[in-house]
Amino acid sequence: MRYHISHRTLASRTGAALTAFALLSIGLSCTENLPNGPNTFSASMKIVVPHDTVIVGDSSSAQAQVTDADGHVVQGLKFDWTSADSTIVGFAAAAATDEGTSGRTRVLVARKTGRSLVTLALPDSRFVVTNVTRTETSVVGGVRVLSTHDSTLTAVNDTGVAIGAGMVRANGALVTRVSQGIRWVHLGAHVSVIGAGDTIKYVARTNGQDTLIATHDFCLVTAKCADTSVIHVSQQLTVTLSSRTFQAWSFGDSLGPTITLADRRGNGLAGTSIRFVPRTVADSGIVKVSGLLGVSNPTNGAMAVPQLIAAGNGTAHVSVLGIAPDATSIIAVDSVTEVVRQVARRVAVEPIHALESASDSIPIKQIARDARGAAIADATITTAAVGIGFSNNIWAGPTVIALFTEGTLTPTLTGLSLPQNNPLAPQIPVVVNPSIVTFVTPDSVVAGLTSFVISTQIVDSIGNLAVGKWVRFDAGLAAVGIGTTPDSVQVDGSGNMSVTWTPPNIAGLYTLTGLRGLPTPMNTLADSAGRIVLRRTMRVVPDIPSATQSTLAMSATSIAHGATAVVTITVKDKFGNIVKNAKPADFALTAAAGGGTFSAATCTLGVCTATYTAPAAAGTDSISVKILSVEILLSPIVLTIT
Amino acid sequence: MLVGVVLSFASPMHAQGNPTAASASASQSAMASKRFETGVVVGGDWLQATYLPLDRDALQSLDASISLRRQTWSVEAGWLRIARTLSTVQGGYVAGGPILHVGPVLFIPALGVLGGQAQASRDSTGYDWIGTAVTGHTPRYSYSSGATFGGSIGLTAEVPVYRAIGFRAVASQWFFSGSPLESDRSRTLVGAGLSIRVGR
Repeated sequence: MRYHISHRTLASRTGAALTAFALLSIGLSCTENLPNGPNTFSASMKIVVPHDTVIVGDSSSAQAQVTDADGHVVQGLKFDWTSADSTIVGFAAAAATDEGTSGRTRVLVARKTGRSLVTLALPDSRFVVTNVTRTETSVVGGVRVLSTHDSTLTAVNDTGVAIGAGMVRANGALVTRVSQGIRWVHLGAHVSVIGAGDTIKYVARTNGQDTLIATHDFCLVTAKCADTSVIHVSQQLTVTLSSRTFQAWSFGDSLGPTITLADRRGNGLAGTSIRFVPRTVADSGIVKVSGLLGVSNPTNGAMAVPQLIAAGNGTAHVSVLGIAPDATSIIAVDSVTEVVRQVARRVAVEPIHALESASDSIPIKQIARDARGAAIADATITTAAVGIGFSNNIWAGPTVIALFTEGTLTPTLTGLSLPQNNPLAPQIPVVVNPSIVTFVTPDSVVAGLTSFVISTQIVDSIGNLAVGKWVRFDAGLAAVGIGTTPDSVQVDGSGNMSVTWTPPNIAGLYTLTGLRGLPTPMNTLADSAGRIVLRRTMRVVPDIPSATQSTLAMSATSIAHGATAVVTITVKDKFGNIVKNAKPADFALTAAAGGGTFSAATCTLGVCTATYTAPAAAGTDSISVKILSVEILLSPIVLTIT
Repeated sequence: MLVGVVLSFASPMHAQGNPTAASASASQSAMASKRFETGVVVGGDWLQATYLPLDRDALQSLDASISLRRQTWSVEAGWLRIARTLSTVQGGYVAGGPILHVGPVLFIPALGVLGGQAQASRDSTGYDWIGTAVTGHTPRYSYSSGATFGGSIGLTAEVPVYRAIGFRAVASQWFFSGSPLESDRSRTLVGAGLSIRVGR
């Protein structure tokens, strides 16, 4: 019973305990602590690439990497890749591997130069990450000029092309490829550049050197990122002559071609000039070179050109030199030939008009002149004289005045200088200018009254009145220091010249010579030939006898009675000129009263003599000579009669 | 829904050796085993033996039951908790089966069914990682709970140890339904506990 009770009690209590245990267990089991989450993981993401710069055509393997908060690299994720500009940096097709298809590895392909933002996204809600980006730069592996590195343009406006290319990767090697965005840097201003990009055109503008540098804004740092092309502009100028052969018919003719000094495009060059250089001394004797005429035009190359001035008969060869702006370098050469052959336009005997004393003569010049009045040295001239003495083919005069008052010397031209002997020359008849010489009787003046006026007409070498020309004079007195020579006289508007000449009061012949033309020395006959337009001879005769200059002389002053002596009277005028035509009547010869006697006086060339006979008794006597009642010099003379 | 069968085996005590002693012993064993082959027996088991350690701060696997026994069969009902590191199944169950006597030991094979709640955390969205010379995994759990039904087959060996108290060993295999346990539906339980006969 006790067992029963005990057992029952025990069982009851055990059941209660189990019940309590069960309830407790249920209660405890409410806190399970089963893990949940986390909802998200914090992580960081990045793009891992060996380098951010990729040569065009090359590729770079990029890895997506996510790192958790503990720094562990999360595996097995999938990523999305995008490129902001897939034409610059794109992606190669994903490899058929887990890495490839999941996007954990992508191959970046540089397609053209530039920058592109590559974005990596993780489309996984477990991870709290923001998209990451990386700027990938696509570059060229160098720059190269494909066209010539050194070119020369020989004419303004010539054009050239410079081609640049970038170096890109192809099949593992760097190769050149165009259309890579080459940028050109232009240094200099001698060419103008047209266009941009790989191929540019340059146009020559001025001589000089420019440099074109091909470069690229996106180029591998370690590569050769610039290449140069040097452009030389060097105009090759050539001279172009309108004519290379010239014919001159007169000295002084100025001939010359029209010349352009230009490149083949017709562009000139500022600062260039043209110079003519006769090749030899002989050439220089045939033509002279003038200064430049006109103004050069560098735009079209028309040049200021000197002229060839004919100076001698013959054929001259002249080099035509194009001179560079440095004034020394010769950049172009050509030549011209000029044939100079004077053709007479007139033939004359000069002076064409002259006035001379009949007793005088003047040297004439037979001369042919070309159209410009230059003498033709090799002209063949013969002269026919009418009414004038003409000798030695040069002297006109003296002439017998009784027969002529005017003479004519008429030239005749033959030979090379005749127009008809030069068919290419203008066939203009030759004007003949004969020389007309007017004769005058030799003049005579009395000492003291020598001044007189000479007038005549002056004609120049071509027969025109020499209005305004000057005539110079020479009387030949400077050497003896007497007299005066008239100053130069200008021909008046009527072609007349008038000069007042006053020969000295010394008896004698004086000749005044008038010359026209340049005041050149007259040392030779040729110097004066044809230039003397006036030659007048003046005779100065003594004035009347004068007591002041006439002299008395005795052969002895002590004379025995009844003996004789010679009385000499030299008759002179007041200027001391011996009066050669003196006569005994011109003076009075007397002796003292009771004195001696005289024979009749005789005069010869101004010296008169008489014989004095002393008186018979010794004593003294006095001899007196008076002219016009005036004692002459040394008169009277006292004689001792012994 | 899975239906489990719990088999309980009771081993009757058989006398052996000295007839007297054996008879006495057999009589005692028979009497002792008879105490558990009929009547109402309550019991409880610790069932965590096959899953140790439990890496979670939670109550381990247990059961508590009350059974009605009648010579050849046993029906029991109780509460069962199966705790795993990442899951818990608990609920009421009913099991029944024959009682087999092998000496003093009762073997009760049984089939059982359970209705209750299943809770599970699944590391379905964690990630693997690699560090400096090491690799690893960082879990990310998704927790879910829901009703579950299960069935089992089991075997209980029970031996009286003192008057109405017996010791028993339990082994069973459970299968559960319910989405929280998807792909992880079986549970194997091995444990031991006490039985107390509390009524005739």
